[in-house]
Amino acid sequence: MPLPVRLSCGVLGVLALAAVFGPLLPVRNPYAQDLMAALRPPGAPHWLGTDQLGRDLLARIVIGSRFSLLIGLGAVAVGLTGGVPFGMVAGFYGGWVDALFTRVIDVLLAFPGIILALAVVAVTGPGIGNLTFAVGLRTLPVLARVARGQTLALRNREFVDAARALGCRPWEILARHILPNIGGSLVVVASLQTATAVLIGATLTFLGVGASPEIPEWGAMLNAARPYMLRYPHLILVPALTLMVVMMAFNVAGDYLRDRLDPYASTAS
Amino acid sequence: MLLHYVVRRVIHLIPTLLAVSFIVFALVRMIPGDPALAIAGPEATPEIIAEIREALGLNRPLLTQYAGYLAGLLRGDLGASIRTHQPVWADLWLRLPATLELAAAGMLISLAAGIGLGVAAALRPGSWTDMSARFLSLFGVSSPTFATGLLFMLVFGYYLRLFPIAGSGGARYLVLPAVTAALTSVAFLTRLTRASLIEVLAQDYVRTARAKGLALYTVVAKHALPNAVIAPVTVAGLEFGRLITGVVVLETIFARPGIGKMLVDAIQFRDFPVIQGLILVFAVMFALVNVGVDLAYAVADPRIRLG
Repeated sequence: MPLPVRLSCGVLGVLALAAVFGPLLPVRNPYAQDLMAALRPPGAPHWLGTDQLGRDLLARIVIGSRFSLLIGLGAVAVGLTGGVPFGMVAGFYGGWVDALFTRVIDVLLAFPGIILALAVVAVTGPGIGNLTFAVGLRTLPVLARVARGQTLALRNREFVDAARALGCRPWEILARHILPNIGGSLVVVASLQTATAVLIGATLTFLGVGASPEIPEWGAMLNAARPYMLRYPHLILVPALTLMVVMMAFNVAGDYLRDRLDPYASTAS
Repeated sequence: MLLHYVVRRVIHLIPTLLAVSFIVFALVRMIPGDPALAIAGPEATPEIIAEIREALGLNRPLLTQYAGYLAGLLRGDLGASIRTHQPVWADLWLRLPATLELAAAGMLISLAAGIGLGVAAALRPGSWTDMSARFLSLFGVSSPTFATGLLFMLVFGYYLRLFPIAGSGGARYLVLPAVTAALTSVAFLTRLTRASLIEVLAQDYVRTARAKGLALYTVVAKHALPNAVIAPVTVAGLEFGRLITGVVVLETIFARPGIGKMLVDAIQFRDFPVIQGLILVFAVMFALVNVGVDLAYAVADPRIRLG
């Protein structure tokens, strides 16, 4: 494994540990305000400094990791549960089902970039759950297309014919015989989509439409820091660099996984 | 033949845009509970709620509402803002140039820089140039636009004082947001151009051209590049979608009076006529750019329009 990939796995490991065990780690309360200690630069006792309300930035970054990861993984889960069955059925049956599939996916993809997610959040209002659903709709078409394409490639193979000859019902063929064979590609695309989902989630909270500004989510932290950034640059440097390092790790690890496991996915995403 | 292709492509667009318009129409109706109450907020008087219900046409049957909405769209009527009572078009029309300016500048920078860097990297794989291009593209792919926007503002606007920090008016105000907006797309286009040119350079006809004694420059410029840029140009439509995300974010950061900032403000105020109008405009813009890209592709590659 090349060094950059090892480093990236390390970063992702730290992220996962911080997300799971955050509250157990020896960090301060990320919500506790201390106006006497507001806007401190990095240094003891606040290793990454404090924000405009005197909240400890290190604690907010550590606890914030769970929001980022929760949104990223949750959104991909939405995309997988909604997109994969739909894509598999479309690829398996073809015909009008497939035509309908193409139409629906075209419509979802007709909204550029984060516009669809913005529309959903406008309707549902802010909140982590709503945000996750909104971002999930963005990952759904990508995952659905991979599922469709892979199923299409497998549906006339001998093992499918054999299963049919043995009397398997269509859903059994899809769930027991085709799904295990397309799982690898789905995992690779899903891992790359997790990175995208984390990014879109943070963009929405940065715009102030995704979640309450109280929450120590990284995008929301950057948004709250904007009025103070010129005099207290650590307020934006800390969350911005954290996000960049995490995104780089996701991309390096995702690319490596893709090159190793699945040549097909490079054209699918 | 080309005209035939254009017509087919535009006709193909109609059902998708109709579906988009229905979704946009349905947005207000999907608000949980009473939409008029949700929009008006908890302190609204019954009169205001009734006024909003009337303004949005929520009293009539659903299909009648949609027919009316569609008829309005065809007349160029996007409704009126709940907040300012001004027609949505009026404000949109004033702000559209700022957005188009940023999107066009971002697109030009990303195509020029992406293809340029990709070519430089592909000509000397493994070299210092190639390594820097690869690192730059990793940086671009991994950097959230809002984070780089703020960092660029801090470094190039505040510390080095090379460009204005915020606002609009003139090319100097455009540089920072346009470069930031282009960054992610540059990354993708560099990767794609590099991969595609390396593949083309390995083809037999390139070897033949070199064997005839043509200079490397001539072979790349005349034989390899036209084939290698087809891949980055086809994804330019997709990149435009990415760019729209950047535009929404950067208009907010750099206080540019465009329709992206207008959309974010409208969502915060739950001003649904404005939200609906802007989402529709973004989708139509995206569709038109994609048709444009497909046309450019068809002109460049006869296999597409004849196939």
